[in-house]
Amino acid sequence: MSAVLSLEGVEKGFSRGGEWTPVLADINLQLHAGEITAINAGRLQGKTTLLKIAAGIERPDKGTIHLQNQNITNTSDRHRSKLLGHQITWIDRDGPGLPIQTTKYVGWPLTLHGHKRRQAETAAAQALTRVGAPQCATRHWNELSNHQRVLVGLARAFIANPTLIIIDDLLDALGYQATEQTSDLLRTLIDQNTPRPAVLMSTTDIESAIYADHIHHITGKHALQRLGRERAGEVIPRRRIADNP
Amino acid sequence: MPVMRTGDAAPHMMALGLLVQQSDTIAGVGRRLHDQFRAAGFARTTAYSSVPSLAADGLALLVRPAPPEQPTLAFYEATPAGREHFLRWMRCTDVPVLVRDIFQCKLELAEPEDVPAILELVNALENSFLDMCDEARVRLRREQRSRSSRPDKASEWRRQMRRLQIQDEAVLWTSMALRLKRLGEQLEKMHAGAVSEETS
Repeated sequence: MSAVLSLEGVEKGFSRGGEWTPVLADINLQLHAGEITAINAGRLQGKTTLLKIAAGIERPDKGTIHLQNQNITNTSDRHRSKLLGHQITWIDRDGPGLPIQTTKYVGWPLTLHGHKRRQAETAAAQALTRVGAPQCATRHWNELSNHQRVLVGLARAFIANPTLIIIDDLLDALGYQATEQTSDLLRTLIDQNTPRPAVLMSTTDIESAIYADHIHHITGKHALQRLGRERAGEVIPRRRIADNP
Repeated sequence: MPVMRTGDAAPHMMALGLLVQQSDTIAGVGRRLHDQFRAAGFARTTAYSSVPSLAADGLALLVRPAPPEQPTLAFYEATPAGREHFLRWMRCTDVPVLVRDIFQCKLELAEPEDVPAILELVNALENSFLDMCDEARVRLRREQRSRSSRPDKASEWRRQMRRLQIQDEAVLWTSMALRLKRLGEQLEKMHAGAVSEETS
């Protein structure tokens, strides 16, 4: 199975207080369709930087990035932002960052695909119903509870059938029950989507990471270490639609 | 009636719990001990001694003797005293003895030359925890996909408890592995520092 996204030898650092601070070193990662990969680390240990590099928002200092076998490491910013709107969806805790209605935020990826505004908003309302949050349609991001933000984020993530979904922090620290419900929903959405996207998410807590197919931990040496062996990601047949909650 | 130690998760108590849950043969209890408490690592043969011992203590009753050639097919049920004993354990709220952690003890007493052996132990145990964690996560994913469409109240309760147990188990092993990963990294740093000081 070829990887949806692959990072090879990726390195990244920043200059802080006049000193060079390495953040990521020799990162090798492959994401496959239908699989959830969690990047686990403490705060300020490079999770979001890694996710931004995977999304094409930031460039690595070294290494290569392939999206569906296409080398996108040195492509133009314009091309990368197009990929982010079309093939890759990014969701996080910050939401739209603008005072817009939830349907506009959820439907935004469709408008990037050329859909008319009304079509996109109708599809957004359907997507919100699909994730069990129809009541959020007319609200704004700052009026939503944490759990509703997760549901809205997931509705947005899947609306344009991307091949790669990147979730930064959104599913973290929700507590056992909400984590369980959200993980079930995420798995169902992946299974029902065509094509099945690869999902990359960051977590600081273990509760949300354990539902992933693969867990990688950012070590003290800024490298990535698989937490567990290959068999944790054993392929389990696609869930039948009738079994979905 | 045997004395009960608080926080006692000994195999005979688990065997008693399984008999309270459902009367069974010795072989059946052995299989369930092994399958339902995977992480505890009970051997299937544990039941061969613990079930007859429960019967000797009056906590289980031999309902149907086994044919001579297949002694593990002897069928037992929990006695009222056994049920009472088990419920006392289940509802006991005394805090058990805290875990005596091997690394806490070794780190307190370790000299620089002991570090390589401790590191080896850290790595070996970390790998064991990762294996356990993998195994629990595979079960968790199966459980995640096995929801029946019309569960009755009792089976839904069992499903939820089983899922919580597996979830908790996966979190436990992952946390233990992460703790050892961090401990190992720190020990490696200290060891490298000690070695370079020695050589300079």
